[in-house]
Amino acid sequence: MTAPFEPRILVFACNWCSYAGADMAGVSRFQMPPNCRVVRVMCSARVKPEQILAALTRGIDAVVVLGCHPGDCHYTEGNYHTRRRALVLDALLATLGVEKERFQVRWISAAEGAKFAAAIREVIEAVRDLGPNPLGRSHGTQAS
Amino acid sequence: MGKVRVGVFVCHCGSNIGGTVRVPEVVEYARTLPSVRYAEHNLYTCSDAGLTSIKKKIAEHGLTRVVVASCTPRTHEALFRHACEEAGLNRYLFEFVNLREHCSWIHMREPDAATAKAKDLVRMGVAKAALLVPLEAARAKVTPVSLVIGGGAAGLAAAGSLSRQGFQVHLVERADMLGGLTAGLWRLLPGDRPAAEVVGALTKEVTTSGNVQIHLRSTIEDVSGFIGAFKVRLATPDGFAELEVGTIIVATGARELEPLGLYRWRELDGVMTQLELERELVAGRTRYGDAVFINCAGSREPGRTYCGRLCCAVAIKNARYLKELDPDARVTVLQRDVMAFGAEFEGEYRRAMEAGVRFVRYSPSLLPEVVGDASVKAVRVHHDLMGRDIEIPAQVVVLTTPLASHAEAGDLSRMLKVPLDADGFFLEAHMKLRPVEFATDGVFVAGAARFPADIREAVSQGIAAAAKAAAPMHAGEVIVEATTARTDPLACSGCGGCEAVCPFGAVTVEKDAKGRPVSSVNAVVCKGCGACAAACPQGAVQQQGFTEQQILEMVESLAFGREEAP
Amino acid sequence: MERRLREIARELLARPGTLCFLGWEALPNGRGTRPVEIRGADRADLLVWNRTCHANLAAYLPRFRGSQGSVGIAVKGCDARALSELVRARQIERERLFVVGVPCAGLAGPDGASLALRCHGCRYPEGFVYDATLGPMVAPDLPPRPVEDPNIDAMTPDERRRWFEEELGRCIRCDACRKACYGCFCPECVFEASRPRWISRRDTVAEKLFYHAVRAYHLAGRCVGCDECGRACPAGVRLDVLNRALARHVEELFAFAGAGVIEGAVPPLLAFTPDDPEPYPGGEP
Repeated sequence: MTAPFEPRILVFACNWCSYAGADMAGVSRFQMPPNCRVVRVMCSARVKPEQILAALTRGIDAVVVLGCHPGDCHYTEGNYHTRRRALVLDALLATLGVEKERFQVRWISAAEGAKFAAAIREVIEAVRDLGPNPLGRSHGTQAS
Repeated sequence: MGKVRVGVFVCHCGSNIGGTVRVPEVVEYARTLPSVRYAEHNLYTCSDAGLTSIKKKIAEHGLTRVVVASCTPRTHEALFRHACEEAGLNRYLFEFVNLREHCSWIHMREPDAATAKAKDLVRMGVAKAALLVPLEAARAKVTPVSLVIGGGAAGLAAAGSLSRQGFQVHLVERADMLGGLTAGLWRLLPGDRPAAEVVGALTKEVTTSGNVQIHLRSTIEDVSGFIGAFKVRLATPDGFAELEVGTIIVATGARELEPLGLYRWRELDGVMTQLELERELVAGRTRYGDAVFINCAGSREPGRTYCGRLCCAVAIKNARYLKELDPDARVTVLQRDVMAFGAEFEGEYRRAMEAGVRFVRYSPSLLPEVVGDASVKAVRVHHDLMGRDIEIPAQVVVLTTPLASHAEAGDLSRMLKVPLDADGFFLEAHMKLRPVEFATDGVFVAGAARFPADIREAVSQGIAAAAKAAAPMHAGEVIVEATTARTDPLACSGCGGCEAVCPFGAVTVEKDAKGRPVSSVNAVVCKGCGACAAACPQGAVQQQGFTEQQILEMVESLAFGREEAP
Repeated sequence: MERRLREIARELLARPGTLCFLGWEALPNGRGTRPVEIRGADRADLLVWNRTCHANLAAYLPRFRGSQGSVGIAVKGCDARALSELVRARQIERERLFVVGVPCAGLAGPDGASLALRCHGCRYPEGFVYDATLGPMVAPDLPPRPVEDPNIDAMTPDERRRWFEEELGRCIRCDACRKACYGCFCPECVFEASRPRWISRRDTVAEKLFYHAVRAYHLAGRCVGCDECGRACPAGVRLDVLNRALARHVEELFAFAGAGVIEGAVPPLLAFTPDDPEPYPGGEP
């Protein structure tokens, strides 16, 4: 009897808003399933679709990019670029038949600990239902 | 780059981490990672003992990279970087792993999973650390001029303090006089001093010193730049003014919440807020008749859950004044818990009761009702202790409303790139460790702009913010974060994608000596967002400290490092 | 038109300062054409123009970066769009080019007779100023593409994934598509960099998917649909399916006229508006 599938999820969080929001969730002790691993960047605009594609083709089950709310970016415009890149990546992933839940963008401000927790729980649940990322199969990281 | 020898220091943080994550196991695991030459755990890595240990081990084991796995970098990154520097390592050869806010605190009932996650996070941190290279930060000059936004108690205290220290200050106030909310008050506790006295004293410092330029009826239009070199555009009655300042203090205060739709305010004659009452007292009105105060009007309810902190003291004060003005009048305070903390306020509470003010407790599920046709006649309330409804005759009803954030705080927050909390008040960098600073360097906050504050708190915070602002201005220069972007000219095709996306114009594409267009980054203007690095298909533009290789290595270490479920 | 083309080239090459003229010549086996870089005026007679002139000559322009001298080039409508985009991306200055517009009414398909798949829905750049033309540069009125084969829009996501895994799985990682593509002009391709090493030489479907997905993303908003990638592929991979689908999405998402259609227009990925739609999962921004 194999262990039930638990997705492995990569989260990019921007230093000024979403990373602080994640900290706030921790300070508030909002409990979440332990599937996420956060990588800190200064701005969500640092995140490249190539990195996300690399993660997905190397078998990571889902990638979430968190940024400041559009209009509130610490670097004024960074998250507008994030948004456009995400839209193109959405289209690319859809064309390739990758489930849309495996790449998500969420806007989290520094005070939104509860929103962070809710978003993480939502993503984990949705990806758990999808099952392991089929793209990672040939890397040998997933059982087919 | 030299030899890569990584030292890993895992923190128990008392029981905050160690109570959930099996820290010794994580240390054992760290020792198995490539490049790790030393690993230990500490009870409190940020303590003197912890910092000393890091410095000692760097020397003893010839460590060239340091990873601390503890709380959030947003608290102690600077501290640990400094420790590395003291031990002879470049401060950017340090990597922080968050095992507390992002692990132990959110998986408190799952020690196995939390420990496995901690191992993953440490592995990712080590993978990045192994790729860190020394970075030299640029230095930026700091203009020894400060901008104080808001001329109330906090702003006046800050401006006064800064000017005493010899700095030039621009004090911007949107009203046509200084003093903020305090200027509208009658008398203050303790001692029943006239508010005008306090305002006068605070204002004197500012108007008599030669260092403060006061801009009344002025507002902030635009802010650009960064610590040491902010460019501010003011809208003044005489047109626009451009200022160059090194630091900014936000002291914009708060507004008294307008009890729209509550207790028939603005509907019946005689229903007023505390500020409106104070204005009547200032104007010389002495007769009010029977008065009922309703506390927690608009606070501690869904939609505005916070307690206003100082309004109970205001109600106690004014209730006693009304009773002293007219001992025959019946003065009642309807309250839902009296917030009269400390010896002074507790003493005032007793004093009000001894003067004959009556306190009746009501429950939020049965709100009082104001009765009257054109003007107030009475207030009906369910007396919580007695357990029955009573009707109190009254000619005046005073609503004790909390301070609330200004609607315009949103505009200022966007201009300064500082966050607001869920109630619209400005959010400081860290409640305990950095209470008057923003995460954005060079911008500070004081007074009711942060949360409802009384005059003493506003003045203390103003002075504190001034002290914080004075530091970089006194030093004359700041070290700008070195995590800026850089182009490899050999790999660059000159396509201009980086130039197009940079929010600050820090990246330009120009012809090199061979006539080929190549991009280059101005390290002083660059803020380190990384948008250019992400726009470059080749990776010719990199963000130092967050390079493509470092990020990809973290991703791969997550994907391939461990096969078991999280 | 061929005669006129040779005349123009001859004249141009006689001028001092002209480096070369890029055009097409007949294949020695007589079964089509290939690109040719003509340096001497006496060799201008090699130039041909017919329905087998598939090659997108604009792809050769980046190699002139940093050199001196003017370059003549023959372009069809699609090639002109690529050229326009290269000028915008600073790969070649417009002043250095002598652009000869060749009015193409559609290229031959693989059987030599029918219309090449890529020509359906042909678009010429708008308002592009040619230095000379062999006729009016107006997009021919060609029938729209027949029902897509494969019709990936009609597939379920899972079917699509399997289709791409199979199709892209044929890839032998020869990089011909990259070499043929006008838009791939980086001096050192990201896939050749060793730090970071984005991709290995392992023969797995995941590596191939990654390669083509990244290339498609890099071309988003820049692909002109010339299908040189598909034509170059020795394994017959239907690269046009992925790149065309993404080009269509990008044009729809951002009301973008298409790569190189409007001169100087910034590709969508380098711009933004505050009112862009929200990516998945959406909700209030």
